[in-house]
Amino acid sequence: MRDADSSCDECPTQSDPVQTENSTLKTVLNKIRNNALAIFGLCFLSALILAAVFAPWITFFDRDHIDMALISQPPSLTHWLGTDELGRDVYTRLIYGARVSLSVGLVSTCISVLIGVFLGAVGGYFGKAVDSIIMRTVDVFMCFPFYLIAVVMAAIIGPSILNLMFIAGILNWPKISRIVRAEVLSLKHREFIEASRALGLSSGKIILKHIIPNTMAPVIVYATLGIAQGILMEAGMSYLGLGVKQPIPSWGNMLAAAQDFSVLVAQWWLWIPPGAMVFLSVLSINFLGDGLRDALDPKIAE
Amino acid sequence: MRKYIARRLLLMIPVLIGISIVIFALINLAPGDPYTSMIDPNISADDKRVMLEAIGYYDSLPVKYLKWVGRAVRGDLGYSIRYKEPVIHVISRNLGNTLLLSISALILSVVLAVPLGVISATRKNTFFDNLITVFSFIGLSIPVFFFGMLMIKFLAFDLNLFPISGMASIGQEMTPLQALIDLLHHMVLPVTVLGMVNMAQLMRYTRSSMLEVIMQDYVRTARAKGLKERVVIYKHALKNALIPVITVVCISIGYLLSGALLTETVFSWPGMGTLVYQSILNRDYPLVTASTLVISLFILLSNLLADIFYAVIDPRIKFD
Repeated sequence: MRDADSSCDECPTQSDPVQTENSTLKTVLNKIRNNALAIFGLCFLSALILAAVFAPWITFFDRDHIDMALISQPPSLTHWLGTDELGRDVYTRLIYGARVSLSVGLVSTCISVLIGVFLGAVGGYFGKAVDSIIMRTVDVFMCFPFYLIAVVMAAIIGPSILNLMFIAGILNWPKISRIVRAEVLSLKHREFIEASRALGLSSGKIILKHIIPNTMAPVIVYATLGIAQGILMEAGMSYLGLGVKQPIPSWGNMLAAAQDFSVLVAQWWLWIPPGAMVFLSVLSINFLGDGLRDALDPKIAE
Repeated sequence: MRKYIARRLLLMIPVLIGISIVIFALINLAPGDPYTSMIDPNISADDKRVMLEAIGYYDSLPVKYLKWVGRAVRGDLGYSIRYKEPVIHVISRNLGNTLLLSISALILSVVLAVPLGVISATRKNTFFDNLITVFSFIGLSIPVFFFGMLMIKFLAFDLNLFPISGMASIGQEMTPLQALIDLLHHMVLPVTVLGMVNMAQLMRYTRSSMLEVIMQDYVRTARAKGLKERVVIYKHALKNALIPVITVVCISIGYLLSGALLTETVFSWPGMGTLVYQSILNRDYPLVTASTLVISLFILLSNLLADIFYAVIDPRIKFD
């Protein structure tokens, strides 16, 4: 299913990058606008980012304020989502938790995009031994059971937000590098690359200035989905006690409260709200990512 | 064909070496030395050093690696600190339970996902199709353990329909048949939870694969020669649409084994996931790394299976 317009989209990019970038952006926005699910995702995520940024202004308690007189209270008018086992306000911690979860998603995705794009482009461009080594490394990473290896790494290097970002980043790059490599393989014999080589540009310049920008469409889609992966992973790892540590609130370590069976069955306000937040933000990102995929490149398969 | 499989097997070797290096690195990065707890604390430091030297504790890393590989190949993956027995014994006790859970989840997801995906593709943009799409997005987005927790709270605790955790009811005399029913009863929730995520993925995959095939010329030809729609879809289109789906099914074995970690923890299912988690809490690193190695090998094999299957069922694949 090789469609004609994708190659036509790319040809003019060379002659006049600025103008086409604008028009691509316009078509993307137009396509997204007609996608109700993607719009839902965009709205929810925007609201979430605003809430995370302006957390101090939209919450009414101190994040770590302990109130032993009011422990494990069900939701009320003062404590919208009740209080936890230390009397801290769950709503406040939920909003602050968005900061942690979103930043883990974003930073880990940045790490994996940097590694993935670099290795994918280098492997695809140079081919031969370099490519084989990189692709076998990708195979090795793809064979590791994601959660298992993440848990083992966290146990060894210690649980913290930074380590979590690092682990998620280091485990997610192989998919991106495979996509980039495939794109580079189809790009590198195009006329404009041969032209830049004939003009005497160095390999580094060709890769950075001419190849990588042309592989960005699928990378953007995967990066979007990667953020979701990062959020899910934060939740899972912190739930197991191998991620973000108390007293910093994250959705994952709030969910960990339900490791206690009595909390699980009797105090729903401690774990259903953070679980729902993880679910809704991942859902929104998936909706948005799917919309972007349709808008940017209809031929990408899962 | 035989050449292709041989080539695939050869390609596995560097990957295998890569996996073993990473696992070995993890073993060596793990804090503390696993022998301290095994050696009698009253032994003098000198004697201890001699003993450690005898087992190669002071060897250089490459030597250690080769020795470790040599032992691993013969099935000696180390000695569990907590269980005081070879890790391979502990693993073999738990591996079966994980396979039972993952394979049941795989069967459940395939049986549901393929028909639903096909129907959804043949009725593109109808209410049913939209419902399936939203449903699969939900399945893809919900954290496995959160889904499991919801099931435990509402179905197992509030409505008391299923057991809350574990694999079997404790302290009851049961005939084999009763025991089997009891096991199945315990399996319902974890299998549903684990199968759900996989099902969502498979459903989307089947749908898009089917949509792609339906648009091809030979399907139009089949319709043009007056075949019934049912025959066109189920006899002509489905065969080709399922080829990539089978590959995805094979690959998803790996995801299931990995996803079982959180599912097992939530449901206290005595499998590899629970074992690894408990071992990490107990700092039983030899068991942790060996389990990771075993599961990675399973994933490697399922990927190989996917490639071979793909080549066997699709005669269009060229073997170069």
